[in-house]
Amino acid sequence: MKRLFCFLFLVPMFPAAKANHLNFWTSKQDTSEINEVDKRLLKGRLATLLKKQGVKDSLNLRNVETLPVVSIPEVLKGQVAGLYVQEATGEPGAPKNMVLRGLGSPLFEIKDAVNVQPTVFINGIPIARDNNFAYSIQQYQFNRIGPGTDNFAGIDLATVESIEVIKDPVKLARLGPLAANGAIWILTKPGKEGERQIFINTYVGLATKPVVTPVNAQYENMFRSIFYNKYGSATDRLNYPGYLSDSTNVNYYGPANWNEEYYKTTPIYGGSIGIRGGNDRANFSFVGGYTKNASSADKTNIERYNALFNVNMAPFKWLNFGATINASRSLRDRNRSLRDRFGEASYVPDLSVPISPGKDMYAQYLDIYKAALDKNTVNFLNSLVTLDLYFLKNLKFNTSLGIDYSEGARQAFFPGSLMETNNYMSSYFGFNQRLVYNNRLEYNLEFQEQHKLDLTLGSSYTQDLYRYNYARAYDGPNDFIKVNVVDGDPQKGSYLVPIGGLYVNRYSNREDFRLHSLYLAANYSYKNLLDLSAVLRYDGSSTMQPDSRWLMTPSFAAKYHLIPENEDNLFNNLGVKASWARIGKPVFTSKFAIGPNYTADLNWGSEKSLVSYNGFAVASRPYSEGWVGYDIKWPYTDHADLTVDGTLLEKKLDFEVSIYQKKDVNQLINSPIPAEYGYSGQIVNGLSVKNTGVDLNLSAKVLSNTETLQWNTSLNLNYNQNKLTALPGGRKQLKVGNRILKVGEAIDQFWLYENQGTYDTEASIPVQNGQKLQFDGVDFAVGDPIWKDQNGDFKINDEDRVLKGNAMPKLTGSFQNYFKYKGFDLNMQWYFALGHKALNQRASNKYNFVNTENTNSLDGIREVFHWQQDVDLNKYPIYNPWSPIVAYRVDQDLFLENASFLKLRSLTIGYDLAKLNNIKDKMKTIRRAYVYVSGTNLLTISKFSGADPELIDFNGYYTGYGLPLSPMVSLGVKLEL
Amino acid sequence: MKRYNRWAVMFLMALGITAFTSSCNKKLDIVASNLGSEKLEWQSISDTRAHLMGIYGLMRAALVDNYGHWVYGEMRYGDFTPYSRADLRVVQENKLRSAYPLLKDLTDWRRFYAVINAASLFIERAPEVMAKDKRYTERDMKYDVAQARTIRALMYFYMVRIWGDVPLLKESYDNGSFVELARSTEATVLAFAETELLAAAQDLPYRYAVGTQSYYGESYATWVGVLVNKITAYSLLAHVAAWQGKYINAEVYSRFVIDNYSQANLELLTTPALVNPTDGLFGPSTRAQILAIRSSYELGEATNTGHIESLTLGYPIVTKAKPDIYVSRDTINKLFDDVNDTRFGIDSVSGLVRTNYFTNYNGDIPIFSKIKVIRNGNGDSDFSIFGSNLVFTRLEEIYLLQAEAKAVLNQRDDAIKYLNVIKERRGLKPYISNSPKDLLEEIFLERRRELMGEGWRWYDQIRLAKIKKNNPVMNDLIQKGGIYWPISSDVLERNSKLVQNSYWK
Repeated sequence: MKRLFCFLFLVPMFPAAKANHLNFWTSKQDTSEINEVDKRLLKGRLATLLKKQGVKDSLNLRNVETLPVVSIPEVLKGQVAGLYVQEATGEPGAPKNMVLRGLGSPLFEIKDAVNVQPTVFINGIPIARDNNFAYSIQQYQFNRIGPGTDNFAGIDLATVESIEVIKDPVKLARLGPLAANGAIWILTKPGKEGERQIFINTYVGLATKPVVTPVNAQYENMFRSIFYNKYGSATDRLNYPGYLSDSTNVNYYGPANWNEEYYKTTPIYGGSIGIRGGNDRANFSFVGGYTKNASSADKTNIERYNALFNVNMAPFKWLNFGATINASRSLRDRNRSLRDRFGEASYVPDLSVPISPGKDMYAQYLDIYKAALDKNTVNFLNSLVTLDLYFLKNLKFNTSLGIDYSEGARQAFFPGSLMETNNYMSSYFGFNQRLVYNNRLEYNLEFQEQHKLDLTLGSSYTQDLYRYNYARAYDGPNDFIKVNVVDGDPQKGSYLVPIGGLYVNRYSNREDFRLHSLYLAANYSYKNLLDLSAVLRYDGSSTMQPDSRWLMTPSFAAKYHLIPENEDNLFNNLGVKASWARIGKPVFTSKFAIGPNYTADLNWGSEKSLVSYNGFAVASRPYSEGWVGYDIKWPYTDHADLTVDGTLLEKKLDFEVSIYQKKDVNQLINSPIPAEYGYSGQIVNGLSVKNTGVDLNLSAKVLSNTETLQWNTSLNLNYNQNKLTALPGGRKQLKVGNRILKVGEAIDQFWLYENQGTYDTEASIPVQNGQKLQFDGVDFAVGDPIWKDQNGDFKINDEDRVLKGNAMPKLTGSFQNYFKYKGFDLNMQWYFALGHKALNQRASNKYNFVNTENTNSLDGIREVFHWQQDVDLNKYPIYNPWSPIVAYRVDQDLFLENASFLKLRSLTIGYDLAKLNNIKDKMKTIRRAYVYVSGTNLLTISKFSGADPELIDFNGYYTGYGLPLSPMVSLGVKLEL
Repeated sequence: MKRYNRWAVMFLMALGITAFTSSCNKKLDIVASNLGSEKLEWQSISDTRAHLMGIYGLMRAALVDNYGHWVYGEMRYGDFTPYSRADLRVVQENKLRSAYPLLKDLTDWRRFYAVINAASLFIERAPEVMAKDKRYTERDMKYDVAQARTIRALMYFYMVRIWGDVPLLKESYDNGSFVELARSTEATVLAFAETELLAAAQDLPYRYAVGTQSYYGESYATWVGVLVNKITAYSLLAHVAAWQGKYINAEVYSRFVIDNYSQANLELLTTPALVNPTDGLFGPSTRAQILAIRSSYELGEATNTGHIESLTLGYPIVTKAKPDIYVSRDTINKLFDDVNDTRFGIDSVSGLVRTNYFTNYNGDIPIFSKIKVIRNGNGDSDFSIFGSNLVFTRLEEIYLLQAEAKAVLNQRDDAIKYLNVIKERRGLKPYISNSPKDLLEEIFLERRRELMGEGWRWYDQIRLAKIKKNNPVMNDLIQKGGIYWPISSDVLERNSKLVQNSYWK
């Protein structure tokens, strides 16, 4: 009872308040006849239901509205200083990573990437991301189980009114812990009073094929023969792969033209229609759309249907009401790479014979693939109901209920001929459900016309539920039964026994997250000279331990207008603002909240999916995941920012420079303890990372005469560097897998041996006291690489690895130019990222063929697209690939490459037909009839030797698996009536 | 009007604040559904069962991770040859400091200590359950704790064979303080293991859920061959003693097993019964076992990795073209020198090669197919998941150990008797006491044939070399501590009191 009361603590107040106010208003005025003052008041009030944040970093929709992209990260790429968007693949709808103002924590595994991303708010509702708990049952983590679709691919740009990127510390503090990594504030198209507006957008386009150089076995044979001639033993030659040794085999030595089947120029298209209108008491908007986006590679595509509906009403003067529903459904065809398929099946078949480089053989393979089923659906619903109650003109109560729900389903079936004659099927259903209940009371005070004070007291309750059910089965009776059928009658002996002798494994899991916050925010401004703001928050999270569940965090900012708004000066305005905020960082797993816990720890290195021993459920301490103690505290982030902004030269030049520092403090990490307790480590607070950098925005109206050529140009830049400032327990360094964290160093660095050549002769191998130089206890031999002995101890081991190169770019930004002449306009965006490195895993795997192909692992898979010249063979020396020191291991700077690039990301040329008089005359209501041609990914300038320097995994490894970001051209019309 | 509003605001604020700060805390109390909390564990017999099975599960993971049981036991100077895997080749050549991931992982002892910690925790916490749940009887707790003690002792014995001296932790220290401990001598650790096993042996039954009794509500068929029993404890005691060279004890313990095995429903098996994939020793049958770690297909625990089949099987038994390791034709011919050997020989009637141990003998390379439990043993070749038991020891092995002990203790006639029990079952001519062949060598040769692929070869070489001192390579390794594995740098970095084994420094 008490809980119910708490949850809806204000609901009992509504009837009373309404009743009182009703009496009050009705007695005072006649609602049917509103005077002019009230009209204006109402007009403004309705518009405040969905409110922009009012930050300068808002996206100029003109720059992106013509681009055929599907998801929000793609839309934002390069558009805002400090927001770095990483696209590891050009596969449409696949998840993309966003990082705002630098990494707050190191990325060891793919699941860590979720923890550094900014949160996307749609109409104020934070979108729940896929919880990464599903990875714990996955042996191979190339993709998350399920549809693997970007959480933000369900939002159509046509429904978007504005996108703002929030970096301001105090604004983030007001949004709370979910916005600790920054926020992206999206508002959908709200209803609008006035004449009914209709807009129609459509486009068609083509995803074009990339240029590749396919090769056949002859190329591979020549590549390998170098090693066999130089270092191969007689046995090695005897074991030479059969498909390479027979040069008469037409499958491998025939023409290499797989690319004709693999890459196909593919149409893309889409359209949307919207209508909005209403009056000052009620308005609405509706947008519906369909998009089909595709990549030219591997027949991948995404289809999306979406709809937006919004109504706002002011039934009484004291009550404003708004409701928005945004829904979409996406269907995705994913890539058909062997790695992803076997990775999902967690089954490594015999990989010794690769697929043929010939088109006919590949086409046969694709024919078999037609019997496969790979259905990936995501249904997304985002809805908001918001209510403003005006107790007084300056006292408002807002309550809003937001629901974010997204469910993903995947049905997969692969016929037997694709995997050693045994077929595979899996089904997944999972959802993320978030309920956000916000209440706030706003009070504005203005006195003596100089002082303005806004006070807000708010509370927010967020309740998340993440769930999935997953089943997979192997070796079904035939290739026609594609789903797992069971007998559903509990009375029968065959209850739930899969028909046909399928081997079914079932998994399910759920995770809860609840966050409750109270905050008090105040803004004060003195004339137009000084603005002060402060927020004090009190957040409680269900994933924190009860005695440290609540966290109090303050934040404040001051802005001084050095030059207030002024038309005549050189500077039209100039302000300086300093802000600081502390925000708690949410933890999305409940495993820490209960302290020492028990789990089922049955898995070993190559097996992740066991759930029982002898058919019984098991329990033990979480030895593999690490000990969780009782003293876990909230991690938090401290944002500090100093911004100078201004406009000058009759508002022709606009600039904003921010110097910032972001400290992510006291984060949790698995820290080593003696192995004799059985734990992989203990999870403790204490990891702190500092990001420092500068954001710069500069825009200029170079030519602004509306009669002749107009030219707007803008530049945004971000320079960022991160540094590890602390590790738990005062530790100075920490090894995690193949990485090392060192206090004082960047967290995104690679940990590598430094190459200094090859030991060509026996004499060149250093000898000390009769002992040859060793690598981890193994003598170096002829044909081994020379790795630098950094500490001079005459041993090469981990201590001789150095931190080198950053996976995150140091400087990112874009340069946008917009030209307009009468009805014509041209818009182009150059996008660049500089100063980062990539580790060429693809090259390492190719050279390390002896090890990758002989251990039964997915590293040894040869995909059809590996039959191309994708590795620069001139870059690498010839080592002995059979050497026990693994000469072509990836962790050496031989494979480190500069990944800086400059891209012409987009170019649009358009003409507004509405400017033509005879069209205007015929259709009076026409406001815009814009016809355009646009192209994306048009040009890349880079020294990177792989396909594309953007197609790099979250950890800076280039695997060659990313589908190309090939140029797309599209032709479209935007009509506004 | 103004007064009314001020009142309303204040009321609202006060109400809001009190409501939020007091009771909303409860909304944030959620019980994680995928984890057990300290509050809810150790309450009932379902908890003890889960924790007991958890220990077995951890043991399974510890032994099969990276095929540890076979890489430790079979690869070093063993009969198996890697086909093309370089990481296994360096193990065969005893270059254990190589940089392959396999070796890095196998030098890490953490997973064994996880089993030990879980067992210690069980021993400490199980009594709590007896106080809380009436269904948990004294008998059950006695059985359970004895099992935990047996497994813990086994893990120490297992580690001692691999690393020599290891830190000895007799408690779980389950309180978040992780004190660094130095290594105890091999003798201390084995003495602890022996005491524990002796104590456990008193409590363990021969069989669980006999007749009308049940154990955790399940009948005999559920538990047979799954849990450790009295015979297991004595078998392990015999091995602990033999490893230390205390053959008097080894003889006593192994004789106990031989005298009492029938009480545990154990029996000596013929070769076909042994290797039968469905109801043989390695299959998922209800056959009694001394110590087998299970992975039943029917119960959803069959896996693609972690079984010897993943290493040894190849075409035509599975679709994989070549096995990772195989026994060369030369070795086979050298070892199986009697054509009447039912394990491998030529059938005198049909003239065909027997396939109990090897298939494809006449092909490119022979496939070691003694253990081939594909799925539930009936599986076809196209789907390589394996459900075989990891058999740590079996009755035939204990007979040979008994023979070994008798031989060392110079009771030749008895030794020959036990050796010939096995020889006879394999169709071999008996060893006669005036044979020119050395008896001990002959016993170890029989072990080498009989236990091939079961993880004994390496340890047998060490025991033989310790007794006979006639193998210069092994003598040197034993003397310098080279019979042990290096300790991984990760383990060393986590505990400053540890030092690397001197041979691998």
